[in-house]
Amino acid sequence: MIPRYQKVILWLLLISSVLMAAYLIRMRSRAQDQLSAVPGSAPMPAPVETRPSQVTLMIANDEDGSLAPVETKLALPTEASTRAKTLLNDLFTAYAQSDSTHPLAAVPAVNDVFLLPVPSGADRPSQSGQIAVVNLTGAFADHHPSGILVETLTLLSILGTLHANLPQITQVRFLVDGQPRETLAGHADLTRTYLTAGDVPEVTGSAQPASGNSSMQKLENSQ
Amino acid sequence: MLWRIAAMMAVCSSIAVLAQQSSPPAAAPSGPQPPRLQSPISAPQQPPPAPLAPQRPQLRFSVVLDPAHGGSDTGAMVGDTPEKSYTLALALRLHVLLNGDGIHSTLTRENDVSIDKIARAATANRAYAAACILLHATNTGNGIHLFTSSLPAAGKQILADTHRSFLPWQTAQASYNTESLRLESEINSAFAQQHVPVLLDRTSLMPLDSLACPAVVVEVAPLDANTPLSDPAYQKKIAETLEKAIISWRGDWRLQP
Repeated sequence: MIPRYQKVILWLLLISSVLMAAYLIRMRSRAQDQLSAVPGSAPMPAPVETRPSQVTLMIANDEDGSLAPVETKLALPTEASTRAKTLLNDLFTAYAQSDSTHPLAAVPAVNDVFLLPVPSGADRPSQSGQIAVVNLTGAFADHHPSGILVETLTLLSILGTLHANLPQITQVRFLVDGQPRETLAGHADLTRTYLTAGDVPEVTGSAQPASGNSSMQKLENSQ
Repeated sequence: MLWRIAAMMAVCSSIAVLAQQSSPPAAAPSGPQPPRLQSPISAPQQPPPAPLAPQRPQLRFSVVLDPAHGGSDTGAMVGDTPEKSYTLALALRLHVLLNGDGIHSTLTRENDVSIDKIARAATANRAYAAACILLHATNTGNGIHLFTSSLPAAGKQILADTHRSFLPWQTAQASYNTESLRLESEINSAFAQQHVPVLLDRTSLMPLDSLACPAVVVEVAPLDANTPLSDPAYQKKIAETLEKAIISWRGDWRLQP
């Protein structure tokens, strides 16, 4: 025989459970209404299948200090900054291969690429194009081989690849994990703004002893 | 007493005669005068000469050697040796060789200490050197890599005023691009005679861009697979070749305007 007070408690607990469930359902539907009412919350666009397009990667060679264009096909996103990031990641994937002429560690290289309009000032009234801010990963910089030639080639390869595929990029700046950094791996200056426009890397053959000709692209700095 | 007065009068009269002979005539003598150049009666007031801007002192031929890295900044590992040790050893060896040739050279560091890049540039710029050699080492590639600054050459006005005006700190080397390329060519020729492969490039590197002197970065790589950087004969060859290049540069440097 169940005592009366226990029956009362049981019924009270049952009723309160039903009420709480109803309250939660009500709150959930209200939250959904609020989210759908927020402006700009358009649904994500459905993934679009993009056809592989031909791109040019400027591949560095440590032996002769040259940069050579390599044509390949990649399915690239349409948005420019994502496109640039994908290009660079593919470039560094090529460098991570065992037969690479410019071997780099197989670590994630690029966090983000931001594209901004080139700021115009009083001394530079007619600046055109975009400035790409390449945010490298700290792991990439930490694992990068140290040396003037190898570091300069990496920067030139980035500049050349961006310029070859996104010609609207005329200047490039570098960050590492979102912060300015003096050098890539102890040598090449990362504090400068590098110009890409009009500086398509030269394609050279093998290095000749004391040839007297520069085999690499001229880097220009914008102050 | 009378004798003294007479002597004094004689001295005074002789002084008066001498003064009359040396002073110009008070009035122009009458009659035709021989033609002579006439100086203007009242010359226009010339402004005082403007003080010249400080000129670069003409010092003796001197060289600045900058062994890269040092202290906690070890640089790359070249074999079992950190880059900082290799560059210091090479710089000291070259320093001794140059002193033997009577060429004054300044080292930005003489032991294993960490020196700021700005301080290195300041040391070099204070020396008013005819050549600044920045020494690096790497395992990548082979032979010698020579770099000059990638800064675009300074404009004509800046070039004309190079030795008279202040230069922007971060782009001082732009005014010396031409001379740096000549120095690079000199070093290139010296290594070519020794059959050492050379790669000529441009780069953006501190403190290179802040140097107000003909400056070249010399990055030493292994000669080939059988000749690493630790090879004493290879190290000796590099130091002696750089010595020859600097001696040759001394002759060319004097010929430059």
